[in-house]
Amino acid sequence: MKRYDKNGPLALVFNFVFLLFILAPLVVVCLVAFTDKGYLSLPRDGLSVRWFVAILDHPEFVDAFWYSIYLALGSATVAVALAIPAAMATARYKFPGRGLIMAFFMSPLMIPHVVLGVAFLSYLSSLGWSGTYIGLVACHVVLIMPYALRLVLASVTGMDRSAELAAKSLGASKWTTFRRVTIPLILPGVTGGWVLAFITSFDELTMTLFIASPSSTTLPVRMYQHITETIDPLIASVSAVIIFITMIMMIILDRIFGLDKLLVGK
Amino acid sequence: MPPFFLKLNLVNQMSFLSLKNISKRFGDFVAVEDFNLEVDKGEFISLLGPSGCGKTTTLNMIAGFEEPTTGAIQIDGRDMTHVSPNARDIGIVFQSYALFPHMTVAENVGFGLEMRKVGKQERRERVMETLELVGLTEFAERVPKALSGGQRQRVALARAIVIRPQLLLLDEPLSALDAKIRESMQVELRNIQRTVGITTILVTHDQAEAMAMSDRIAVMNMGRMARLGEPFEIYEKPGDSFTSNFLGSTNIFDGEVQDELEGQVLVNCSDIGLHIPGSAAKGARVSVAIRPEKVGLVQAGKGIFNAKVRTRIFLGTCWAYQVESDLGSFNVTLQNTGHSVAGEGETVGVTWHDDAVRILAER
Ligand SMILES: Nc1ncnc2c1ncn2[C@@H]1O[C@H](COP(=O)(O)OP(=O)(O)OP(=O)(O)O)[C@@H](O)[C@H]1O
Ligand SMILES: [Mg+2]
Repeated sequence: MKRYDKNGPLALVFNFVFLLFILAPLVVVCLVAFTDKGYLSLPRDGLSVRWFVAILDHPEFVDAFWYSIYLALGSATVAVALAIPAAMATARYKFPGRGLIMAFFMSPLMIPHVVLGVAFLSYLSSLGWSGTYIGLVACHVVLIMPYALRLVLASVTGMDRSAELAAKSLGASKWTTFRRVTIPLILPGVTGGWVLAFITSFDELTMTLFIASPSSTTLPVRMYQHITETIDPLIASVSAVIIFITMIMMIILDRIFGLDKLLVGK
Repeated sequence: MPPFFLKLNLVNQMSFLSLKNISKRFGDFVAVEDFNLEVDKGEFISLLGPSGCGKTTTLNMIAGFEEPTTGAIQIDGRDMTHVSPNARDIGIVFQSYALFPHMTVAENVGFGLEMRKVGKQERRERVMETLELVGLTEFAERVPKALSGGQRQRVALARAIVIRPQLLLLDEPLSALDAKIRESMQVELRNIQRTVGITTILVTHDQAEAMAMSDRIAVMNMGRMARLGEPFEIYEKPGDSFTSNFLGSTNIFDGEVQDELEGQVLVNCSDIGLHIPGSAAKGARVSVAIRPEKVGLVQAGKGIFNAKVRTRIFLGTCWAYQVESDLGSFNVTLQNTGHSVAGEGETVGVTWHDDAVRILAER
């Protein structure tokens, strides 16, 4: 078998430039967070953590952070809980309207978030759910469903069904088989889908801007509102914290499941 | 009302597993048709046939994974046709082993007992007992990934028999193993089956495996039963050309019945007259078969007819010949006795016992 892990010099240069292009903004943001000036600038005259301390003086950022976490937790969990039966049904049974259901679940990928935001705004207010946690979760579930479903579907499709049959022949009921065999076997895909859904929900700005209220402001919305008023390095320090938390999460996930496995869905 | 022992006798005469006229259609496609089989308690039966002939489908219907389109399945006198698989008490070894990758060997084997609510202590004992039977005691705490193919196969077997099922189904359990291990596993599997005394159905497309292991073989072709019988019986009297070819290499000649004597017919094959046991109508066109190992080569002129050696291949235990004659070309297998034999290009005489030749039914 031919091995493809040897890159030529040109490919190496390309990869390096590409990585630099992706990572540079993150590095710049993290550097700016350590500035001692009152405006966005690189820390040329010395490092300072004043803008990290400043976060604590802005409880609205901390509140928004926790709200985003709860929202992402709730939405990702609901999305995955819906994605599992949907994936099992579409992967295993042939029934009329199967393609339609998949297209329906995947459609949020193809609709601009602005449009979704406007649509959900009027939808939520007619339900009387404007600005409520339930309302936001419902909208985020719709938005992140494609991400959850894609990975769950990949693992359900790739699963060896004979293990389930074996469990049944050994006396396990449908539910026991699902709990003891199916779930553990598709767990990497489920976890991957959940993580992706969580990140997407946590990160979402455009649509949430339309449906959030002062009592339900997510972190991206909070940050957006902040920079429309003033541009100070507080935004950079908040971003740096998020980057840091994300990195920690990724490392933990990599240790437990292997990131490549998780995000490719195998 | 009959006395007790008479009733017992009646029960004993009934077969343990019976498939009555079962068939399975997938849409328009007929996978299994009109399949009948009676299996006695403790018997080892093989379903033998080429790929796609419906062996797995038949097994799946017995296991309850597929419902037969028509027909009925009885186990121990109970109708099981529509009973769900988890209530059938059947142990299954899948072709892919289908072990639970997230459980250790002991947990895998103990799963069925857990489902039967067997207590922890007894579960542990029975798991270890069964692992000992398959020779895997020291692997109890490993996960399936850390086992070789043969070891995984034995875990799958242990998992299936630990629940002491009334019926054991094996779907090509040895096909993933290499030839050497496969042979030793065949012997081992047969020994375990005898020890436990469990009624077993083995699916295989390997005729040697089926003959080595089974009490009886059901040969399947295109969803139907082609032949059922003990290995020796169906090898010697295959009945039709499909079964004959599938069970082993066969030379088949076309001929015409010239005369019928008592219990024998005279068949004319390309102007060579052959006396063959059996009966057929005078003038009928028939297929005549003889297996390569039943043919002998002697000095030219001393056999039934003469032939010319086209190719000769040495295979260690035997010589494989291809010879050319008025009957057309055919294969001959000679045991290697250590003496030199006729070489390529030589003319030889061909002999056989009259009762080694068969007349096959047209299909
Ligand atoms: N779910 C299904 N839908 C449609 N056709 C099927 C289905 N399952 C099996 N078949 C068809 O039925 C036929 C018999 O399949 P089966 O799996 O029983 O073959 P087999 O004898 O076990 O073959 P092999 O030795 O290759 O395993 C095949 O032609 C197969 O394509
Ligand atoms: Mg099969």
